[in-house]
Amino acid sequence: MSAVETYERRVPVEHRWWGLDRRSIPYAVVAFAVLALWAWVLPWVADQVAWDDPIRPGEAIQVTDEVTMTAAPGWGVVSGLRTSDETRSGQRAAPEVVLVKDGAALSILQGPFEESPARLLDQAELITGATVGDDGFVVVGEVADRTTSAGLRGVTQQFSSGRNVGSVTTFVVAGTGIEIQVVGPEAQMAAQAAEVAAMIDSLAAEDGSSR
Amino acid sequence: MTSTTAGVDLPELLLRRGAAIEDSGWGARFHLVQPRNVCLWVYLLLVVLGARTLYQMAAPTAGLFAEANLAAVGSAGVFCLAFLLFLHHADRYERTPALLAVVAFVGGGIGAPWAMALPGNGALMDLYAKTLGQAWATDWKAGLTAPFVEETAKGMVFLVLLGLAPVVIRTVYDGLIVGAYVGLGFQVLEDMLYGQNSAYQTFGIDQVGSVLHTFVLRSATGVASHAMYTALFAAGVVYLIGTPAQPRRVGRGLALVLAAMLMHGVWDSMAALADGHGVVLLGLMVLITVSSLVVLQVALRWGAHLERGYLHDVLAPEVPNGTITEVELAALAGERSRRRRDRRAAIRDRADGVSRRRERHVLAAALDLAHDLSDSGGEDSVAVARSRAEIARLRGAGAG
Repeated sequence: MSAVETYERRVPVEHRWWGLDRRSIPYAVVAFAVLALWAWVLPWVADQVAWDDPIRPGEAIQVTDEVTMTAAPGWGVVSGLRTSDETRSGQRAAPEVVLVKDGAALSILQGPFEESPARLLDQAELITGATVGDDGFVVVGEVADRTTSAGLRGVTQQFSSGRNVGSVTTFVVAGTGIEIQVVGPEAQMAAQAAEVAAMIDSLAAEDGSSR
Repeated sequence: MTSTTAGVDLPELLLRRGAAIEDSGWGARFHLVQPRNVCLWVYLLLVVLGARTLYQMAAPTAGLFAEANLAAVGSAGVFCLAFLLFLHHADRYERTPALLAVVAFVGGGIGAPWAMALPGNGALMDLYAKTLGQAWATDWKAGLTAPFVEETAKGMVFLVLLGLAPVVIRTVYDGLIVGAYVGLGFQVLEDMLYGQNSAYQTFGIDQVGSVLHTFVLRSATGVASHAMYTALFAAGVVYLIGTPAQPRRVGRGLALVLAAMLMHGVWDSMAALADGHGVVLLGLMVLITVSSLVVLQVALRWGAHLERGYLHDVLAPEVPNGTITEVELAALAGERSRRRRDRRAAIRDRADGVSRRRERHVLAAALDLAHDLSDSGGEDSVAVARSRAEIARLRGAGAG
């Protein structure tokens, strides 16, 4: 066994501490501290800071570059840009919008999509089913048409997932798919039903198109 | 370390060779299983936590996004292969042990992104949005998160490797190469995640197309990549900590670490910095890419100085025994400012009948001899004898 191998395989006596190689401890402690900071401490700190960005009367969400939605006052913005927000980058809409209120969550995902709202609904259900798990995601009832006040035509489907209930509503506007999922406990969903319906109903394309 | 063999007797040259191999750690083997080394347990913790998160994220949709995953593996694999070839080429002085390269790649690909960067990025971005608003966060959250979270996450993988391989990783050059392997692992796994995300954002339609679109974009702008940032960061860590071969140089260490973080941050904030101007965006992209290459060049230059000295001392005893000439030694291990001139001189002064091409082969074979001498601890071995014979064969074949 060479000197190098001896070094690696047997810890010299002056470097032993409780059977461990004392020289490795500073490296390990620093690395573990950074792991703890990013994996546990900072997420804990972030959890201690509450989301406090409620929608005020008259505010609207920029769902896509062309589509807006009038949000119900009191819902908190977790993700998403308002129509009044101005960014330096010129980005107008976030890829995902998340609004929450009293245990109910409304999330909107948007991205390139050229096919029909019904096809988008199929895809949304497939992905949600896979993410939640087959046992946790059960569609309820039939697919129904959903037309907003501005004339955007889409489809909607109710579902249940564990103790939660919800709906998936999809639209396709100017080559962009819009998937709106609303989910929460049954009681909260019932309490927020009118506001949710009004928000979806307010979905409108700025150029007036209504695929 | 010396710059010439003239006037130095062979026993002295052999002593210097031994000291160079001892100092540099060249030829040292890397053993991952060192139960008494605490770094092993931190490394395993990182990889296990990362693998668990990766499984939880990818497994539920693996079947649904199978096409995207396959396309991502294929495209990321092509990027990885190209970069590995570059690393192999850059790793000229000492071959990084294959096991260490694999361990660095796995730590960088599994441990850094999924155990540390994912929760850290998410938490910091949430804090920005909660405290500074959605519009501000949209512009700046990536640029003010990734440099801190991701660079330190990858840096910590390198740090535990430094603790696991203190004999193998001794120089700034080692830091550059091993750091690049860590960063390459991060880059490849991140590209795969971005590929799956792009398939998700198109609702699972045209998965291959969306993945390849992302791949082309990331590859076209791939010079300023995780592999480069981590190479610089890791080289900075070697300077900051110091090793038996590399005295601590805090200024250089901080400069490299901050350069890696700054370039990463500016790259991720380009859209906001450009303020909607396409030309400015393009200019920033070019500027960061060029700056990255310049900083890398500086780091390579700093690192290569020490390595060339070791190479000189390892090969110097081969001059008196006639395996290589003094001119060839200078061409291989001379100062960078003179290397081209020395190389041209070596080719010009080649033995009668030896072609220019054959002389270049002799120089390459002399590097192989240096590796074999390092592996044998400077002693004669079967591999060393074969390498010397190979050099003789090349000269003979050229002359014949």
